[in-house]
Amino acid sequence: MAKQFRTSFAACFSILALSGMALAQTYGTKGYAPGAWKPDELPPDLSKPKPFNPHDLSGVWSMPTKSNFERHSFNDKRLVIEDKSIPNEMRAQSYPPPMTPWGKEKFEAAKPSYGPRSVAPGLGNDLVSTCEPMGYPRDLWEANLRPFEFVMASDRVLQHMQYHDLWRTIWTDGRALPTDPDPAWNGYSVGHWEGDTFVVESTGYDDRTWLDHFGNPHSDQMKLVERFKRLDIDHLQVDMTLTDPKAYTAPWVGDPITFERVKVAIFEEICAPSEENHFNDRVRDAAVGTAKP
Amino acid sequence: MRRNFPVTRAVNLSLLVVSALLLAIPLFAHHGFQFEFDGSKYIYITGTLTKVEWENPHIYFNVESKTSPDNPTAAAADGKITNWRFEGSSVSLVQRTGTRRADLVDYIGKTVTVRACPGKGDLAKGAAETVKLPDDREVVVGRKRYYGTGPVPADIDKDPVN
Repeated sequence: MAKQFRTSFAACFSILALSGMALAQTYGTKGYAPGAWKPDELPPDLSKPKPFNPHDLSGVWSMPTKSNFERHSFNDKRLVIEDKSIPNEMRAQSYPPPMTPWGKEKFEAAKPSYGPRSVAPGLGNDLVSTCEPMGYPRDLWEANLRPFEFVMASDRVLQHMQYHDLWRTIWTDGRALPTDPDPAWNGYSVGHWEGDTFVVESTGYDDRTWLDHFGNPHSDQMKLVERFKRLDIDHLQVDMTLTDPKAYTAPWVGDPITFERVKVAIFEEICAPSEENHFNDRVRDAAVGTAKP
Repeated sequence: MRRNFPVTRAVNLSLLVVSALLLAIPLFAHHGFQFEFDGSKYIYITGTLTKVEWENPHIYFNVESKTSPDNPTAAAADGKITNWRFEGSSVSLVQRTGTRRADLVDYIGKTVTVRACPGKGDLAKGAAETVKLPDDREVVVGRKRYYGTGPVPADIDKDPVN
């Protein structure tokens, strides 16, 4: 027994010692990690924040993964699943308002690979698997792993999403939303300040995208209102409300999200179809036996 | 009433089987992680790094090792070399931990040790978390893969974003 304990202790100690070495010798976890540049190639104090200005949303923002729970919708909660082999990111379910028959039909047709309705990705129809646009707000849920940044310009605010290297334009030049726009993958957005809150209204979305990783639907009638507030240098809160009478019988009011400012740059993360197909052949399709020879 | 019992039992049994099947199916990682890998175990594979593919949505690398997928805790008794294939996380997630492409590519042909969750079905593959290099650095190549109950390395919950 004592020998077993000694062996286990030695094994644990070795693992911890090795891991400590890894942490000590990487630089990405502390300070500014700009990707291509090594720390000693950068000007000093790059990560030093500018003085706090509530009307300046600029910064790189990430959605913290509390207790290994990744947020993937307006509201989603962790499912309690005893099976330890189920990955954490799968332990989630969203709670949309009641759907209209149109919404329900679209929901049933969606075959996601997240949450309780998951199918193996090779058998699903998630546009993510083929590098198709995810649309907004689904782009935002990627901020668990792939941050976004706000860039302030004189007549617009640009929301730069790392995944797909996507730029969402939020016009602040006083224009109203278009009245009858042609649908667009990322919709049309205008913003204005109400006190220290930046209110963004959006419409004109292409209904081919899903709202989230769970396959919840939206229509081209979707209207989205986001209220961003910079709480302090390092925190940005957003409250979101979706109204889509074609898909839902009531508005979907999201749980507030507080983003954290991260001291990293946006990395290039292009979804290249050739690379994605490579992955589909190797993993997604291979896993369900539908890989091309 | 009594006569109906076997039918009821058969129905119950069927429901049980169907439920069990449904329970076995529902959750798959977005990229099929749970279908492909066993997140409840660790393997440590030592061998020669032979190939690195630095691409999205996951990086891949190959390691030729005397360790057999049949018994990944011991080197193969007959000295047979197995070509192991590992997948890590996306390029940006790996970069964010401080690991660069050169940290792997520069060591092609050298001996490394990979910490990974094994592939299911005794296949020579794994979902890798770290690679220990010949210069004793251990670089992160994937986010947390392990969901088991055993002791975990200290770096396992490291948030790749921060």
